[in-house]
Amino acid sequence: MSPIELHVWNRAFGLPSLDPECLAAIAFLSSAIPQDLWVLVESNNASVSPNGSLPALKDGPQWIGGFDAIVSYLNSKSAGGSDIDRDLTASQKAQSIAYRSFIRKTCLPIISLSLYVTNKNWINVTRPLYSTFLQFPIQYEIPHAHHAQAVSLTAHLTSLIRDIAAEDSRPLQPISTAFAGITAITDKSDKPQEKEKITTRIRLGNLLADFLDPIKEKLAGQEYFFGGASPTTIDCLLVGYISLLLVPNLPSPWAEEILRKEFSDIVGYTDSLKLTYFTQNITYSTPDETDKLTLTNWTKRTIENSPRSWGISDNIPLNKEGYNTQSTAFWVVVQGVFGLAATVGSVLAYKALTTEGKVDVELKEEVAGTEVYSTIRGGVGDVDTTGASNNGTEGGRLPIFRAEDMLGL
Amino acid sequence: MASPPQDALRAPAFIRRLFSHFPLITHPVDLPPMSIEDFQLLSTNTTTRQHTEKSINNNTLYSFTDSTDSSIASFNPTCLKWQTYLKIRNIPFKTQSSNNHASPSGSLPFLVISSQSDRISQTISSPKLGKWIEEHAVGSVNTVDTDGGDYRAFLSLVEGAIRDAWLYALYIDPTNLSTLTIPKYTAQVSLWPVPQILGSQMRQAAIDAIRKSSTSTSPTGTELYSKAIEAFRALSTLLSSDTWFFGASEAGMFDAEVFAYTHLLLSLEIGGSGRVVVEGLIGFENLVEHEERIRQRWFS
Repeated sequence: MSPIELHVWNRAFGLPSLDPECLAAIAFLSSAIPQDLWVLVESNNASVSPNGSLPALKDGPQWIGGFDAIVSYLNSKSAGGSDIDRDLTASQKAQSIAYRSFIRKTCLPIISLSLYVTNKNWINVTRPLYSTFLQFPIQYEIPHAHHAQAVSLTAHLTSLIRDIAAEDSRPLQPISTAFAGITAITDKSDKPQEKEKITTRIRLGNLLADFLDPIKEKLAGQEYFFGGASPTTIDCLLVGYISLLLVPNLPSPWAEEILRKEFSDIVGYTDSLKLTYFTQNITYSTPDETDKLTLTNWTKRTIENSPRSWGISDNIPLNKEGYNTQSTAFWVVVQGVFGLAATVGSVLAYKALTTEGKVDVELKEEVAGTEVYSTIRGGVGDVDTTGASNNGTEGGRLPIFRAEDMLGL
Repeated sequence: MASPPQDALRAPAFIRRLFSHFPLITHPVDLPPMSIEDFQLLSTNTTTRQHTEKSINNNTLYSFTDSTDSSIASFNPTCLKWQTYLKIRNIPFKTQSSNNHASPSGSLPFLVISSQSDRISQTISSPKLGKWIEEHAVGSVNTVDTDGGDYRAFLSLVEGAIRDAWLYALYIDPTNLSTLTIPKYTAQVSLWPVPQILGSQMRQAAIDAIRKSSTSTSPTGTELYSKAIEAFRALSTLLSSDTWFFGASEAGMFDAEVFAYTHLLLSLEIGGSGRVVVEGLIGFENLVEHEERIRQRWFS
């Protein structure tokens, strides 16, 4: 039996992945199932996952996407054998569900702020990191998407982002003498700047405390979140998230500094879990040909997602199949529009090439008491000819359609 | 023959006739803001003193609602949450149907208070409502620490998984969008294309909100519903056989938070795919009983 494959985002910062959920999944697999039954695959290909994001688990023909789904899949597959939460009480299980949602809600914005939105870290560390493992055109799209996601997650922290940027920026050298006066003034006021730095630090501290105070209270010096002798899923999630605040070596290291200074017991807790899970011999494997992130399948995915990324059709369907139908429906419409345009175009082209600006006009006139029908082919507008050719009784009268003729009565 | 010069400048007759109809309506003169003394004088002169006191001693909660009776529940979870909490804390108020354009902060609900002592009405927006209630309501026996870890963790379930399922059921599911959400939220502007346009805007806002809070790139309705049911299971375990959440002896903020969703899920006639989450909720008896307890005491 081939081992289970865990597909994740690439390793980074000395951690096995750059994504907190992937790290959590690695920690979970390490603690739940024996090391020889699973391999880690750095496929970086989110399209393999049924929910469109990594981590994803490949078990034979089956794909499972997302940390929560992976946990429940492995628990049910092993009939509880790999359930690391089996010793928890019902109330602890309920807490476990609640804290999962709490960690994601409070910590994800902090990680986004630290790695993606703090400009200095993004430009110097995180952005170049993506270029090391992604090939040419893809290395522009994926980090951009991750950055955009981070920006939307930190939208409520705008003033803090501005303060971090102000704190990080060095006083500029005067470009010309014209600017010398302005920079001189800012240089003089380094006292208030220092003060600003302190308030920014306090606000960042509060942001971290929002997330970490409840965790600290819960841990209360224990080795694991729920006490006990072994880690549970919530420990896996915590080590995944906190590691990304603690481990990366960043030019603007506010997250790490605050953690080390104010939350030393959480640092200790994370370090010991990290040592168990992330430095262990993880077996790596290469992705199958079909699961690799190649230019072809990246292009295919981009085209499939284009209705959504262009904002033409944005919907959350009830089922996974809904996404395919949505994308298919869009392309059917596109083809339809092109087809219609082509048809109309060719009809017009045919018309333009075959008619010589002349039309057939059927005339009805009373000539000496009898009705006479005649068809005349003539250029549009040269009614005079038709009138003249129809040698009628009234010399100058033009044959003009009457209203009732048009109704065919 | 030569007409006087002013004739040449006169507007043509039909324009003069048209303009003679304006102004169509002349509104009564709006008085400039007056001082408290003037106001008191005016009110004692024009109406009976008693009537004035009664009308200005009212708190009004502006929310998405169909009624001015504060015991008729709002159909919006956030509005209902505050409405319930005000009721729990025994603050008298009436409700007023409103919309986002009326709110100083752009979101509902907000409370307009007018007390006898200062005679100036004051607007409390929803983020400040909690603090205002703590300062003005009689003390509560509910002493649950709202900054505690467990409180915030379970609250994140209500504001995360349950809210997302609510948004999916009410705004994205086409059945409920057209039969419940659009008629309820656009009752004030029923002119033909307006409800449809507002409806699609609300739907887009719901999609964006769900995408933002989801960890997966392509979330599905089924996934959102199962997460909400998992959240209800956790809440049901938390409540167990207690009367109120966190074992409190009297209802509190968290009870209002949960009631806001459970009441609306159980009482609105949610159809379409939303039945899944309603059926799921009905499975947790203690949550249904909790909803009933609050409804019978404060909303009947």
